[in-house]
Amino acid sequence: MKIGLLKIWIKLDFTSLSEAQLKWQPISNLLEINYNNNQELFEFIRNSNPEVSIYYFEKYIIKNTTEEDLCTKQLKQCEANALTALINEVAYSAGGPEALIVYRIAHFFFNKSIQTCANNFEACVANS
Amino acid sequence: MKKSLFALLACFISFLSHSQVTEETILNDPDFKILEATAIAFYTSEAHINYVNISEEFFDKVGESFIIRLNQGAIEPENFKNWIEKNLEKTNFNSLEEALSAHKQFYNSFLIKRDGQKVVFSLLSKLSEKYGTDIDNADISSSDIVMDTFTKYTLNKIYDVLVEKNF
Repeated sequence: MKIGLLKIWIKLDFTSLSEAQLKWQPISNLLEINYNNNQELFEFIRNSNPEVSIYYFEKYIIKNTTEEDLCTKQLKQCEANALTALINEVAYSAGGPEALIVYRIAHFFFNKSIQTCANNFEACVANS
Repeated sequence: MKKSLFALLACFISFLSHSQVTEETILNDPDFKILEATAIAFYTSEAHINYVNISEEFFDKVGESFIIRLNQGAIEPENFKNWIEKNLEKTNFNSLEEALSAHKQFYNSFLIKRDGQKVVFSLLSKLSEKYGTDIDNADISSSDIVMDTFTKYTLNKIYDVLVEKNF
């Protein structure tokens, strides 16, 4: 077991790799089954590699880290909001007749939001 | 044999007519103009902006334990009630009442948003079909000139309006 992964488990409150895998699986399955193509940010889901999945999960969803500066915290919050909005849209429509349209529109807004998060982060760092 | 030849010819003519469709064709289509007006009105509406704000607040409080269950129908009221009763301590809500009230507000705004979205999706689907996309068999890798045009022009326009509104 790698130490980095262990640290992520502790941060995420997972007790084992299998638990982490189990918790990630619903999202992974959803996107992997329905949208099995080149979405660069979701490479990790296609691979279903728990280590990489958890990395992204940590990066985009987990926000409550203590040692980070204000700009990084805001960035994480912003990215988490963007990913949650994407997952919510996609999850609700998955398997339905409009799933593809929903996915494409949601992905457009996700990319724009992530870009805005990055711009805000740069501005925050410049002003701090 | 004649029937097969006729079918082949029909497919070929259909292919030729669709292969000549350009962005400009789509942009000049009155149905696209209706779609664009409807989409801009919906995505920049108070109902949609309200939904985005409420959902951000809700997901922030409910936390990732809930978010990872979104594809299991977790947002449906009954499912949420069952889940929150057992997992309140994993969220940032102070009480069950607060959580249920926040979910009710979120879910209501979601339903309003969903109804508005349906109209946009329906117009998009019809237009895509009109220009030859097989909606039932399309996947993420399928080319769809209507969707591409919609994304490139309309969604970008919508995003700019939202930015202007400081959203």
